[in-house]
Parts: sequence; C-alpha cells; structure tokens
Amino acid sequence: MSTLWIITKRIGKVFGIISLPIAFCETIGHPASVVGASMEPTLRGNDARWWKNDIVWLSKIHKFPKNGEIFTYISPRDPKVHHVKRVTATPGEIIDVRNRPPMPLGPLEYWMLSDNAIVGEDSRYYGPVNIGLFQGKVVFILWPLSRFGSVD
Amino acid sequence: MAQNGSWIKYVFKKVILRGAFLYSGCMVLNKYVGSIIFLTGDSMHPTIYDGDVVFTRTYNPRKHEIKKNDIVCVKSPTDRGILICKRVALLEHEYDNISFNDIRPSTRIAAGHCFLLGDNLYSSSDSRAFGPIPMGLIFSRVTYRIWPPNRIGFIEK
Repeated sequence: MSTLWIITKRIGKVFGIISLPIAFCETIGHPASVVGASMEPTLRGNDARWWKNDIVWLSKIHKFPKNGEIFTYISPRDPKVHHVKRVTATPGEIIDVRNRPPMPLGPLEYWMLSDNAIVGEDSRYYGPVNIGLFQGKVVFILWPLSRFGSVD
Repeated sequence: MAQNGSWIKYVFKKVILRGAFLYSGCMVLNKYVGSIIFLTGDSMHPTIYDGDVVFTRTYNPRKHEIKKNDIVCVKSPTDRGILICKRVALLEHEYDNISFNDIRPSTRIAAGHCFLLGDNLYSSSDSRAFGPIPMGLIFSRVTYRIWPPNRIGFIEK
C-alpha cells in the first residue's frame, strides 16, 4: 500500500468525520435559538439574556407544510435573515388581506403569519413565501425545560 | 463460525461507515464549496449550450455578492426540486424595464429580489414569466466551463 493511498484514506476519514454532524444537521435537523418576539406566546426570543430565549428543534424531515405548522425560512426581503412564522394558508387557498386583491396562492406559495401580530414582518409585509425558501419545521421546544415539548 | 459472522459484520460496518462519510463529505462540499453541474436546455444560448458541464460556487449571502450579469443556478419557483440556470439581469431596487406590459407600469424590483433572464430570449422561461425571485432561492453561481473541451474557460459576462 502506497503512502499516498494511506494519506488519502486518512484525509478522507477526517473530512468524513467532520462532515457527518454537518450532514446530520442538514438532513435530520438541529437546534436553533429563537430571536425576536414575533411568535409570542408560542416562542419567546425577546430577551438579551441568551438563556432566556427559547431553543427549538428544527426538523428537516417533514411532510409538506400544513396550516398551523411553524416553519423557518429565508426572508424574501433579505437572504441573510431567517424568519420563523406559522403557516396560515397553503397553495390554492385564497388570501384576503387589505391592500391586496383576493387571489389564490400559487402552487408553491405559502402565507406565513406571526403569532404576535403587532411585532415582526410576515406575509402581510412581503407577500407569500415560496417553498424553496423554507429551511426547517419547528417541532419541539428544547429550552426552557418548563416549556419542553411539542409546539402547540 | 462465530468468527466468520463477526468478520462480515465488521466489513459491513466499514462499508456503511465509509458510505456515510462519503455521503456527508459530498453534501458538505455541495453546500459550502460548490459542485460540478451538467446543464441542459437552450435558454442560455450562446453563452451556455445544451450539455455543457460547469463548476459552480455555492452562494452564501453573508459572504458573496451577486452582481449584475452573473449566471446563477436557482431553485425553481415553479417546479419543486429543479435548479434552473439563468443570468441575473436586474438586482433589487432597480427599475424593471424588461417586462413589457401595457397594464403594469414600470415597477422596481423588491428588496432582496432579483430579475432573471435567459440569454436566449426566445426559448427561456425566466422572470418574464414568473416574476422577480427572492435571492434566497439562489443556490450557486456558475463560474467555469469544463466541457466541451473546445470551450473550456470562464463564463463570459
């Protein structure tokens, strides 16, 4: 066995070991910290003290979004920012909001609203969200332990 | 005989583990570095022909900046699971002078969105059909062509 092959195997193994948790986070899910008060009282993230903000489990394994489920997605206004909101309308349903004529959602568009309607930007501000922007489904609150459990 | 069984189990574990490493490694490369993509269709004539193979660099909004006339691969806003490859014709806040429409007045591209246009205007389904797309759908930028051999090189602006 040449040393080149041994080196390749070693580099491959190290790269593989490092990649495995990253791939896990991408395919299975990962914990995430909530920022902002837009999903109060379901999710709390409006405290400067990090341990007071909720930590949730984002699942990458999920079926198509349904009404009432909470998803994170890349904001249509700024690709650097992730928003977390609740699905209130699915493709085909008709949206009736002020300033917009009632129209059905496109085949891949979802209407996302904050639980806390006063705070936060949601679909009333930037319109329907394409499913390609969706990142993960909020399934569990991991922290604080007093509210541990499924969301809703 | 028990020794024989555990040998098979050991090899099996090695194959599974190496497979997992390989899969994870490829996924990390695809997500953080880039990939090699086989492009199809005529919508980008004459810049890109059907069957070209290119290097792409995955787009990270925090590190990279999409400039006008970049060729990008985006997650299709109309078909799930498909990447479409088009040129960025307009960036956010620019005036849309491409969607010629008597009914709609000239509008600005919304913040965080961009307008895609195929180079082959006759045979391209792009933002003229589905509107400006959020930059969050952009997956990667096309940088270098590696096939066919007679046209290897950086993609022209």
